[in-house]
Amino acid sequence: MSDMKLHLEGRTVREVMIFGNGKDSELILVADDDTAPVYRIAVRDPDVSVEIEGKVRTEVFNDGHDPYLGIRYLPQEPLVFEVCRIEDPGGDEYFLESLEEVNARGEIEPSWMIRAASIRLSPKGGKP
Amino acid sequence: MRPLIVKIAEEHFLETVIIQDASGFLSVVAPYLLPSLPAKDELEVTPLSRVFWRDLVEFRADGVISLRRRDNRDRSVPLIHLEIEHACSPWLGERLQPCREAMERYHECEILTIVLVLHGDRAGLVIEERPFRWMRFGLRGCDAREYLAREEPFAWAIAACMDPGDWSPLRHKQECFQHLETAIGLSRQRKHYLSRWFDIAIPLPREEQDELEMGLAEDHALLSRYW
Repeated sequence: MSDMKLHLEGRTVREVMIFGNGKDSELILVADDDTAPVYRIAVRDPDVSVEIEGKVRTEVFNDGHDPYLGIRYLPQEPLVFEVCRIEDPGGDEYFLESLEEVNARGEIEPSWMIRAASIRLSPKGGKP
Repeated sequence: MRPLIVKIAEEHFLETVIIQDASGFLSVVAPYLLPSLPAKDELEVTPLSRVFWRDLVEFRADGVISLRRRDNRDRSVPLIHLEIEHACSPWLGERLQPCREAMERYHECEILTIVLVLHGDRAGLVIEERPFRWMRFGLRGCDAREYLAREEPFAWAIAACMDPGDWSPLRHKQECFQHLETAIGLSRQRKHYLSRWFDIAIPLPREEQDELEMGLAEDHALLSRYW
């Protein structure tokens, strides 16, 4: 898979969430910085890896919607997005533009669905 | 941070807006996709089972709609295979192919696959040729006002996902609700579903949602029936 780096790499993590089911899943990436956009990424048939070094609280939830399950990672110490990459579904110009477009809610919603993402969270300032 | 509400509502949208209004769906979409289709009142439109089995694997389409001529003439109209997607992707056709093949084997008739893309696609109709011939209809970027002006409730439902032009999200939602208020012949249940869908499709900040609800509260009839 060729992949694309999101602008979150190096930023402090507030939350990482994956929610939904195989057909309709969503990956949400939030930096601990109100000026940074929130990424809401539509995922189908997810192949998402989240590698974490550091303390996090992991919550599994349903949010009241029967067919869906969510997993939320909440850092309990300062962590950064060391790696934050998503599958490039083909270099489509419209898709690339959407990765730079922040909507009125301060969110970036890539125009196309993806399947794969790779995220690695690590302690801010490097390993203790 | 909450999950994107529009995504988790796709099933709701499908069941309540399309499956219960397959005829409305066709009258809105068919002129673009199926110009040769017989007139709406010449057709009997029936939603069919969405689940298929092939080699012990279950496939679940979002919608399957059977069309038959009311006069029982030949079945020259295809079966409609409908999928609702949040966004599109280059591999979507390949992803849909197994389900479509299972459906073809089961029904043994011509099948037309239509993908309604609620967000994240170019506006309007795109015909794809691979790995089979299918069509997708991107709602984002289409003119919400044009569809709100139509008479089919299905058109109002998809207008909630469309481009409202210079309307604010609040105004866009108000306009959608306005159609419910004036709709004639729409059951209370379908009004409820549509109002629920508008709430989901056009999320508002808390204060604007309050403003909307206050406006609706002033119209006590609407409030007491659907809120």
